Parts: sequence; C-alpha cells; structure tokens
Amino acid sequence: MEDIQFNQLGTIKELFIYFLIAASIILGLVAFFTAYYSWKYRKRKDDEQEPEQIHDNKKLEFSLIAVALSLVTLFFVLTINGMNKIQDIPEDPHPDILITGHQWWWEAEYSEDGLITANEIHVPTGKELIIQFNSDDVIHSWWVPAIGRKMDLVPGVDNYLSVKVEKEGIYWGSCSEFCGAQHGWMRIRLIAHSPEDFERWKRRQLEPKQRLDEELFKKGEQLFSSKACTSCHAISPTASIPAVGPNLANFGSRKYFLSNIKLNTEINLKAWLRDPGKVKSSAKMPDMLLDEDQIAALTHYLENLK
Amino acid sequence: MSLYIDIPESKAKLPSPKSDRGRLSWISSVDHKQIGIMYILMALLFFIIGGVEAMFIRAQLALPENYIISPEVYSQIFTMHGTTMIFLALMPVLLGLGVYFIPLMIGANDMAFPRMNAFSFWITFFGGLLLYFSFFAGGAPNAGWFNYAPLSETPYSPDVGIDYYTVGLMLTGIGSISTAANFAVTVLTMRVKGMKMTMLPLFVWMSFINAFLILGALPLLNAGLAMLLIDRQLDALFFLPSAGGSATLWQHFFWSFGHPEVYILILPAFGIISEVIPVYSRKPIFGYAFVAVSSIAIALLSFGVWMHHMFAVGYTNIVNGFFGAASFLIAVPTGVKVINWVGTMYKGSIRFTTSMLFALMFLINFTIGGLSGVSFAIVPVDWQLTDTYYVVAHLHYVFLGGTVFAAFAGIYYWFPKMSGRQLSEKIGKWHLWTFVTGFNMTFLVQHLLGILGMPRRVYTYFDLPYWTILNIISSAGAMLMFGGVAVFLWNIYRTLKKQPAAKGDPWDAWTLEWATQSPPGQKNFDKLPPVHSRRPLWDLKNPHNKDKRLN
Repeated sequence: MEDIQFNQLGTIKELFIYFLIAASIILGLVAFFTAYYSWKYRKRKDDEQEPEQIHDNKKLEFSLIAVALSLVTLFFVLTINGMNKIQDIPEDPHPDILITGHQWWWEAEYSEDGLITANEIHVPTGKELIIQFNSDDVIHSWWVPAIGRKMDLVPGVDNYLSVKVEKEGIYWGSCSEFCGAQHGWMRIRLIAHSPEDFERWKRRQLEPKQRLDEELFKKGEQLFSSKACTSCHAISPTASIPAVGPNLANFGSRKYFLSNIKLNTEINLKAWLRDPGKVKSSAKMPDMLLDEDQIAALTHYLENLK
Repeated sequence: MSLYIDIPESKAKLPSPKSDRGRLSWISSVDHKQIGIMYILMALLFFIIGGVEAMFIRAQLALPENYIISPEVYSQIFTMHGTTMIFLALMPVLLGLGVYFIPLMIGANDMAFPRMNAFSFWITFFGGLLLYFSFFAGGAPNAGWFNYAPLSETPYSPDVGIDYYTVGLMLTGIGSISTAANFAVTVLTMRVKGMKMTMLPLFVWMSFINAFLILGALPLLNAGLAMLLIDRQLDALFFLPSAGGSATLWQHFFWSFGHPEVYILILPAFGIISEVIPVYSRKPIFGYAFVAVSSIAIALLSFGVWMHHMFAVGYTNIVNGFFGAASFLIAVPTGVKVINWVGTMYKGSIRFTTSMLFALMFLINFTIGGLSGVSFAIVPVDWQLTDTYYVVAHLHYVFLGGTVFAAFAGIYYWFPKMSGRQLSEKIGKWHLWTFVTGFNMTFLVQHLLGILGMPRRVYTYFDLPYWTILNIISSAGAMLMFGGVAVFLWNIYRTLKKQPAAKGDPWDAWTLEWATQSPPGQKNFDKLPPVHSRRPLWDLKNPHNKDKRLN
C-alpha cells in the first residue's frame, strides 16, 4: 500500500473535472436546443396554421439512449476505480489515531503512546495514517476539504480512513453532519508537521507539566479540583476518562479553544468561564458561578498548562 | 293564542352544503374539484410560511458571524422549512392538481372514492396544523427534515418538537397513501368508454405511476416514524446504539422512503410539463411511449438508490458501488424525458405564454439539478461534496427549478379551467422573471460555496475567502424570489376580483378537461366527444387531420 501514490483529493478532483466536462456539454446541448428551437419555431404573426404533427422518431431515441447508457457506464467504471484508490483499508486495521466526536468537540488519541488531545489535531506529513472514527453521542462527520473525503462518526461503529498529508501547514475543516444546535461551530484544525516536528510536539505534550511556584497558579489548580472541573475534564495527557469535556492537559499550548472558534486568549477564556451559555449556547459546560478572582486564577492556571 | 309564530318561507334558497357551492360547502364537500382547490390553497399557504422561514435562514447567513437568530432557533427554522416545503407545499400542490384534473382528464365525474378523497385532504391539512402547533407547545422539531437518529432521540432532543414531527408526518403520510390508492383506482376503473390505458394523458399517466410510488414509499416512512415514537415515548431502543440499537437504521428507513419521495415530487411535475409543452408548441408530445415507459423505469429504480444519501456513513465499496450504479442508471430515463420535451418543440409553432416560459425554464434548470445529482453517483465526489451547500444547491434546483417551476406552469395553464378567469400574462411575466432570476442568484452560487467547503445546516460561518460575497448574492436572490411570489399572489388576487371572462378553452387544448365549461359545473360532463386517440379534442377540432386511431 505504501508505494501507491496516494492523493485522495487529486483523485476526487480528477473525477469531478471529468464530470464537469460531460455535464457542461449536456447542459450546453439542452440549453442550446431549447433556445434555438424557441427562436426558430416561434409562432409567426398571421400564421394560424397548425404545424405538421410529428409523433416520434424511434431510431433517434434509441440511439440517444445508447449514448446515455455508454456515458454512465464509463463514469461508473471511473467511479469504481476512484473508490478503490481512496478507500483501501486493510482487513484488520491498526489505527494511528482514534478520533471521537462529541457534541460539539473533537477528541484525538494517538494509539502509539496514548496521548490524548482535543480539537487541534496534529499529524506528521508524508506518512499514510489510518484514522479510526467513532462517536460518543450522535452522528458527526469528519471533513477537511483540502485533504479529502468525509467520514461519518457513527456511535457504536468503527469507521476507518487512510489519510496522507503531503504538505506541512494548517488545514481547516468542520463537522459535516448536523449534530445539534452548535453543529456550525464544530470546527476542525488539522496541523501537519514534518515527522521530526511531530515527534517533538508529541514529546512536549507528554512531558509532565511544570507547576509554577506562584500563588495564583496554585489557587487555580486547587479550584480546578474543588470546583469539580475534573468530573468532566481530564488533566493528564494520557487519561481518556471522563471524556465529557476536552482533555485539558495541554490547554495552554492550543491556539484556539471551543472547537476552534475562539482564540485561546485570557479575555476569551474568562468570558467563557464567566458565562458559557453566552459564548457557546447549548454546550454542556455549566455555569460554575465563579467570582472574578476565581476566574482569574483558573484562567492563569489553564493558560500555563503547556 | 299560540306560543309560536309562523316564519314565512325564505324566498331565496338557503345555503346548503349538499346542493350548492357556498362557503360552508367547502368543509363538507366531497367534490374532487373543491378538494383539489383546497389542496392547492393549503400548498400555497404553507409555501408562503416555508418561504418566510427561508428568508430567516438567508437573513442569518447573509453575513459571517451573524447572530440574528440563536443556533437553537435556527435549527428549528431550517427543519421546519424543509419539512414544510416537502410535505406541506410540494406534495399537496401535486396531489391537489391530480385530484382536480385526473377525473376531468379521463372523462369521469368524480374520483373513485369521493369521501376518502375528502378524508385524505383533511388529515393532511390537520397533520400540517399539528406539526405547526409544536411552535406553541414548547419548540418546533429541530433535527433537520430527515431527522437523523440518534440526534432525534430523547437523550439529545428532549423537547416535544420531534414528537410533533413524528405524529404530524404520520398523519400527512396517511393522507398521501389514501390519495394514492384513490388515484390508482380512479384511473383503473373510471376512464371514459374507449380510453385505453395507453391513451392516458401523460399527466394522468405520471400521477398513476406516482400513486404506486407513494403506496410503496410512504409506509416505509410511517414505519420509521412509529419506531421513533415508540423509542421516544415507550423507551424502546431501535435507534439508540448505547443500548443495542442501530444508529444507521433510521437512515435506511428514511431514505428508502426519501429517495422515492424525490421522484414522487417530480413525476407529476414531468406530467405537467408533458401537457404544457405540446399545447403551446401545437404538436403532440414527441415519443409518448418513451416518456411513459421511462416513468416506469424511474419508479422501479427509485427504490434502489437510497444509499447514495449515505455514502459517507462508511459502508464497503461493494455496497456503495451498487447504489452508485443504480443512481447512474436512473439518470438515463430522466434524460430521455428531457430529449422528448425538446423534441416536441422541433418544428412546432411556439406560443410564449407564462406557462410555456415556466416550462422552458424548467427544462434548463431541472437539467442543472439533474446533472448535479449525477455527480453524487460518482461516489468519491459524493464523499467530498455530500452534506455541503453543493447538495443544498442541487436539491433546490430539483425541487424549485423542477417541481415548483412545473407547478407554476401548470397553474398558469389550468387557472382558466379552475376559475373561469385567465391570469394576467403581463404580471405573470414579471412573476416569472423575478422568480427565475432570484432563484438562480440564490442557488447557483451555493454550488461554489459547497465546493469551497461550507457544510450545510451551519448557523453561521467565518469570513473565509469568497464566502461572504457568495452568501450575500445568495441572500439577495432569495429576496428577489420572495418578491416574485408576492407578484404571483397579486396576480391571483387581481384576477379573482374580475368577472369570469376566459374563454372555455383559451389555449385551444386537446385533452378532455377542456371539453366542459370553465369552471366545470358540479357534474363535470353531460356528454363527451368520442375518444379514439390520445387527443380527443384535436380529433374533434381537426376532422381532416385526426391522430391515428388507437381503439
């Protein structure tokens, strides 16, 4: 499998262009004949005579049906080839990444070392990755347009997709199956690193976090457990339970939060902690009724988890 | 002295639902013409309501990061927009035209089961009212018109909206099923002497085929709805995987109804186009047999394509390939029809009435929708574009550019028959051009939005390159289209205020509905010309150039 030049989007684009050419020709013909006949056979003034009554022309119809059938057969063959190129998963796949959909955020687990992260999904370039998809609640759908196809995340079903990202960079995507009120803000941020950078990133994520020796940080840390944040959010980079809310072990290292709709800044985080319903309504995060000091402490604590 | 005084006999006849057509009679009427008109009025009412909902959607999406309506309300509005348009506007207008014109076109005086006909209408109408009552009962349904489980299950949608959706649609479904049975029996048993099945006007033929599609498809929906209702009310677990159910089972039920439904909404439209184009081209339909037989092919194939709505669910290439092949195949009989309509115009003498122009616009716009539909049979392209605005564009080209354009063509064509008055051609052309221009502005650009990566059903979006400008064009087009509908309503209002003036047969048409006065009396026909071909009135009007005798 490794030696096949793998480019999902390229295959899809190629097929779409073939389709576009065929469709344009057909539409062009229909539009041309509709317009041309309309003009040519328009009723002339003072011509009240009924035209010749033509009922059919079987030869013409059968030959056009034959043309149509060969055209769809051709496209069917192209389709089968394209499908086999794109969806080529081994019988017993060993996924590199497990992605789980939640209302309304993404969870990613790297099977090699158990690292868990949320919403910002990092991948190495040049490597064919097998991703396993699953959902914790309703059906979601994974789609990063610049990488390739969609894959639904169906609760109770393991779906697999092989993905190969060629170029380093940041790719945006979004949930593509309606999954409730905040479906529109369930965005994906896929970050592709060179393999070396990817390893470096992973090491840094797994490192034990440095605990700052200052009052505010300690207060935040203490609040995080006393305010029951831990009943929804894990704080260790390899803890998968309880995945009600995103794993926050490396929260400070993320550029965005709330499924990539808000920049991870102090102001935004404070606004969120103050009144979650106002920032992202219907989200599961409850209003913890924190006072300003507590918000400041928690914000300071979370922003320094990096 | 008597306690009673005598009241003199009324000089005028009192209104009676049995004997005249006063306002009261509409409630109790079993006359197919009154029921047909009520269907059409119901469709118009819900078309306007659904249109207002569409305006909310386009207002919210006009600009990025817009918060005119909250995400929770937005979900309800787009769900109700889709559900309303499909079940309460398009289905009723097509069934209503069928109820009105099938008996007239086959020379019958009513449907086979007039009381069931009234029942069908009223249960459909009350199903619609029940669905809308949800707004006052704690929130409208909010899981999209196809209402995917598990999102529509109690843990994720605890509000009553979904319950109203299930019960409301079950009722409209029952109405459609009984109407379909009525259509089938009427066509089979009530045809005038001499009219063989091969001589049916194409609108009747398509409605007849459609009846079997409805009889096959709607029970699948109702079965799914019943299961969902049992899940929600009695804690069964059909669609909840956390307790052993299946998260994709609902999709199979829904789309095995839903794809035939698409053809249920387009076959009668094909029928209208097959009536309108010949009359205004002054020629018989080109290749009657091909148009008729291709409808049977469509009907059969339409039950084998549903999984092309589910290519991204994660099935194997074999399963997806099978449904891809069926979806390619169904394009062929549809394409055949387009060829025949264009062929009908060849060497004709074409009259550009509003009705004909709508039919011509149908030809081009429906072809766009049909072709973009074929791109979903190319499974990898579907994997990329499904559930994006490309799909939204496609389905509106089919439902609006197809069904609604055809319905407008039919209404302009048959309005003189139904009311005795002719709609204004001048205002009609304003209606046509504003609506068609607005329609293309709204939806043509949405193809691009989908390709650029905008998923459907998002309540807002970031200002990515081109997204804002394309959405602004789309919203502006929607306003223009809404204006077009207003012009249409004005046209109807103005025309109905006038005295009946239309000639009985203003288009010089050939099918039997034009063989009686306009509007027809309570009894459709006292006598009919002999029926020996597909165009009995052509034979009557052109005794020296009759169609080939078929019986």
